[in-house]
Amino acid sequence: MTYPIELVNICKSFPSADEKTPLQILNNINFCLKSNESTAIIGKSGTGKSTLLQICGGLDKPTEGSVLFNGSDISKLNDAKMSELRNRKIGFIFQANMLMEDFTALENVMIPALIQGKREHECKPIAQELLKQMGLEDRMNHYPAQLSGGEKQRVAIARALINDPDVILADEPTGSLDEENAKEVEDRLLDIVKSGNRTLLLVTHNMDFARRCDRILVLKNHTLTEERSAE
Amino acid sequence: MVLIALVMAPVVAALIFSQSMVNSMIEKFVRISDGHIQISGSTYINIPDQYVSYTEKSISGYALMYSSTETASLQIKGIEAGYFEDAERNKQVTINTIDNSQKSNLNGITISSYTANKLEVGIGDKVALMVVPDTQHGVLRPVMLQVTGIYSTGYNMIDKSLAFVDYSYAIKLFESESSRITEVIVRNEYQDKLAEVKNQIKTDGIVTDWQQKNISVYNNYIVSMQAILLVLMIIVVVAAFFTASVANQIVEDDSREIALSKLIGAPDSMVRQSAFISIFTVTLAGMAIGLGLGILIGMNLSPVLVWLSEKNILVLEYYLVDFSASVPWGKIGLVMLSMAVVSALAVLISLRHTRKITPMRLFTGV
Repeated sequence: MTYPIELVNICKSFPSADEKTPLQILNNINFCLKSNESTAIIGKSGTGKSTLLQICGGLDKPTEGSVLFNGSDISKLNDAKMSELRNRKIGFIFQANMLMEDFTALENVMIPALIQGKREHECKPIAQELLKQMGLEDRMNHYPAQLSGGEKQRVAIARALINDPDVILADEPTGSLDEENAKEVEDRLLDIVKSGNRTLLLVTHNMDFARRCDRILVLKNHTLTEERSAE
Repeated sequence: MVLIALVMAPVVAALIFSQSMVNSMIEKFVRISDGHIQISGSTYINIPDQYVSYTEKSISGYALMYSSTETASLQIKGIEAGYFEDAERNKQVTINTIDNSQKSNLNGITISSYTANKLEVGIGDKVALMVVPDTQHGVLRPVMLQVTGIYSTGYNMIDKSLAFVDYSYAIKLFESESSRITEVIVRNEYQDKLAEVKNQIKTDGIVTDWQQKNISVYNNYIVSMQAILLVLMIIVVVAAFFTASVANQIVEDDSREIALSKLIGAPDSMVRQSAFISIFTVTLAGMAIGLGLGILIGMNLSPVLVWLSEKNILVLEYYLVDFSASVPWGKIGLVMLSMAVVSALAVLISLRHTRKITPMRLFTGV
């Protein structure tokens, strides 16, 4: 059986300050994410949650182990194939919204589709529809600097969805939002998983948000343990 | 873009200035001094009509001219009546002639304003001429002449050494057959093909062209133009490399956007292509603006040169103050092409740096 994402014996260490003993962050991590499932990874700051998410998205490389995406080892992909995977199969959402400041909300959402090779007239209606779903129909032509934190985060979610990815990787997506905006973003993300054949992997400190997910994994002492499973 | 435009504008202006100046100097040599082709000592000449604009007879020899205070060594050119009335020649020279009331019985000579100033003589004054014999049995002969005209070509290389007398009088001064010259003015389309034209001339005389006759001057023009072109190309190439360093800076400044593009799936090749197109477009726009500015400056240099000449700057003696500017499209094209190619290569090389920018830069800052 293949999973959208499967981590096999993942270890990650960084050079330490004394450059003698490497600083171990992740040790022998194994887990898989299923379709139509939302998974939250929780843990104290500095335990390596974000590093684990970056490894899942092919942004960072593990020191040991493999990341399988739909059964294929992503470490064997070249730059072009890796980029294609990130563009078509994965949607990223981060705490800092990471929008391009020189482009409007609509343009920011369209960029991944344009990178994929779609024409503007093809992706514009999709981007407009996504922004409408995010409640941003009157903010489409605003630049990031003209949007609130919650609005920016919803633009980032729309951007993550434009290419209809299999997997959404979200790192503290509500971390910089007030309670009301955070709730709205949570609802949108969980709706996305329920409404489509998608997988959500979420890194958060927000226990309320984590509890709304199907599974909760705890990262502690460099290893991952399941606190609550979907079954 | 501003930097590229600021480099290109003076380069284009300098090319227009230097090429126009040399063209005008050559035109003065050809129209006033020698013609394109000279045939001396001939008893018959046959030139196909297609090559020839017109031909003229002249006589050439050398003499020393004396006034009461100074001496000048001159080339004396015997010319037919109406010589200075030719329209193209008239553009190259300004000339003042004597009133009939001032004329004496002496034969007349037209000297340049440079020689007139040197000898401290004016129109109507008398000067002595010591003719250098051009035959083996000739002897030095002093003759007295009246200055009946003062001309100026604006180019000291000619004005320093050339004086004109009537053809009929020059025959008496210079007896050698080799001093009898037929000057050929070649049609415009053959002016760069003088060797080809010379090959088509059937004559028993000696055929030379103005480039051979003024070989050092001609070589100076060629070497000067090549040196100028080389210097300008070096400037342009340095500017192109500067573009690459600007490209490097742009990549560094936009590293967040590049990392973000890669995060959402842009491959490095796409990032580089996109950066290259935007940087190169800016470079081309700068070059176009520089070209326009350069042409504008180059075509309007005359007032500046006139102003400089009024300052009596010594080096300007060897240049023309008044010349018609023309745009040397070939050389400008070569310089622009060099800049475009070197910029493109340098930018492509510097854009390799984008490979090092990964999406992780968004999280780690490196």
